Amino acid sequence: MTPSGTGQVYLDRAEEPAGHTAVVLGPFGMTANDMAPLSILLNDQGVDAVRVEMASSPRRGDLRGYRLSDDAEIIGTVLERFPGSIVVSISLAFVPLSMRLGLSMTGLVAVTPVVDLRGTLERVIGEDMFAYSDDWLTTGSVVVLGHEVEGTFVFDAVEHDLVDRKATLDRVLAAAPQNPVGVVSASHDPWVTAEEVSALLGALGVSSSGLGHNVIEAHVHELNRHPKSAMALMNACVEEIRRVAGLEGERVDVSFRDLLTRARDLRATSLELTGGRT
Amino acid sequence: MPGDLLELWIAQSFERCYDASPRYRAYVDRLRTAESSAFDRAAPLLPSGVFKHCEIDRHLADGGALVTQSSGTMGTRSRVPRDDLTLMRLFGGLNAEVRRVLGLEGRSVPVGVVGTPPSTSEPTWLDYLTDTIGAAYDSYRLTTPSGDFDEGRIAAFIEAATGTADGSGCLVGPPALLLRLAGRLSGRTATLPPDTFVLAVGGWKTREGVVLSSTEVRAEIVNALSLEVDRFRDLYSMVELNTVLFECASFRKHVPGWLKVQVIDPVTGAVQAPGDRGVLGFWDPTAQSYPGFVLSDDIGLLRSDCDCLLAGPTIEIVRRVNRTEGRGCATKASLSGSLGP
Repeated sequence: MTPSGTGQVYLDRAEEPAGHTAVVLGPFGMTANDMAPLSILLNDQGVDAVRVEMASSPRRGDLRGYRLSDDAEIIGTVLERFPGSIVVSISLAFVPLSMRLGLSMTGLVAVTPVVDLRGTLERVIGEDMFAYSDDWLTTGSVVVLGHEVEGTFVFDAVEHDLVDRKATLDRVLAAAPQNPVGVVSASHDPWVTAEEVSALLGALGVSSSGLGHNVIEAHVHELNRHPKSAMALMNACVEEIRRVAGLEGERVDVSFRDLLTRARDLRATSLELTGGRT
Repeated sequence: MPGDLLELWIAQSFERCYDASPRYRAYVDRLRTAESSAFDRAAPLLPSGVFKHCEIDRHLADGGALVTQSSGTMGTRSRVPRDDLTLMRLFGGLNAEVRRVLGLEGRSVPVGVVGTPPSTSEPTWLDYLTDTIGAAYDSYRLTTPSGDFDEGRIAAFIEAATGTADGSGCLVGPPALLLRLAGRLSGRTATLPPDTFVLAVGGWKTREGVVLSSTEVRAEIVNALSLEVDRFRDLYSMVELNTVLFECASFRKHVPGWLKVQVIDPVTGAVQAPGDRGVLGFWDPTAQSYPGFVLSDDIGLLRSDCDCLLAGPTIEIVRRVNRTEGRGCATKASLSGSLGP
């Protein structure tokens, strides 16, 4: 599987635009359509939303040959196409985004960000994939969140220095984001530790207990599996985006039942690749 | 969920409904004065007929509710209000059982949905459920609003299902429509992987009222689509129940850990032993906006284990309750009214 280089994006325009665009980078194993509920919430705040079909999306095909650098390439292409956006990264997407932090963006919101790729992956699959032998990596594969991933992933991560926490934090520090940033994390995330989040906050210049860090009470990382936590996550994400965008007034809320219906309708449109509502 | 925790949750759910809703409280108090051992419980079962006249109880529904209705095959339609928390729990339950019973761990399972898009006001439970299952996953609606099949989306769904590492996609919809789709896809070059799931939701009647045999439909679909024989699964649901029961590879409908099921003798009101037939009664504490304690319209039985080795009991549906049996259950409870105003 190779990235197209152009990326596949869905542009969902707000009916009453407030002059901001958010580029949404979904997590491993999820599609751009899975980001539809967040897109709807953003549109209701007046923010246009760009949903990106990441290289890690099952809609790109099977994920055996998935590489983080492919996602970095897609991110780069999208950010060049939508300069000056607020970038929203979810979970693993933060790792390839860290390679592109120097590109034009007016703000960054990192949601349950993976900072230590090696550490998080070990917690997810129960083994240190980066400790496997080269012989094994050349022919073997592991199942990550229900998707088979081959050793190419490891070789690519090593080649691009994406493995360790220090490398990711060094890139963040080097990019020295000057624009508003926000981090949303889960209080008891089993895959991204509080200490890792703290380290990222430090690198971003955000106080762990102040404005810019929004903590949801949750004991899981995969918040999409728990609808109530997922709603809390999305609302927290929207709060951070509103703050980063400098939007005034109250957050516009949507009931869960309305969100389901609207997301279904938006997905139906997206399948036609019309680029979303105009 | 350990039995004592489930009983505690059911008790808390009942107490909440009893304390918050004057209407429900009056109803329960009337039941308790009637002479019936079947309803001599802390959380009495409500015959599904009660929901024929049910209005949204503002004391129970938090922040408004979506009203879903039955398809009306037993006469008058039941109407059940679901607020956001009730819907979230429905979703969470679906997700959990897809993982537990179907073994689908993937975050974005491609789901092909066949059926009528739910109406915006008071959709039928079947339409809403089919649509909801699709909304939780990477879904492709394969039918147009007019009821025709969309070839473009069918092709996209097949490509997506074929592209997953383990070929695990799902088709979801009512049996009659799934049968039509299978006939349409039969013999094509590009077709679904053999381990694609086909999930049947809803009744076993065609639009013309012809009763379908589940065994025959299963065989026909599996053969037409060249699927592995255990990939066709029937789902048990009803509008009054906020939980869906999934069939396992041994074709048994598994009871999830948060649901209590008993089989009630329609004559004596006694609880039946596993393997004995009676009316199925459910205590579902996931419902918040209505009391989720329902005596169904189904005669069935409970089994305590299964060849598939999944833990917990299973149910087997034998037939629908006939009117005499239904009236008998209602009479036992001295039910002369409803939860209406």
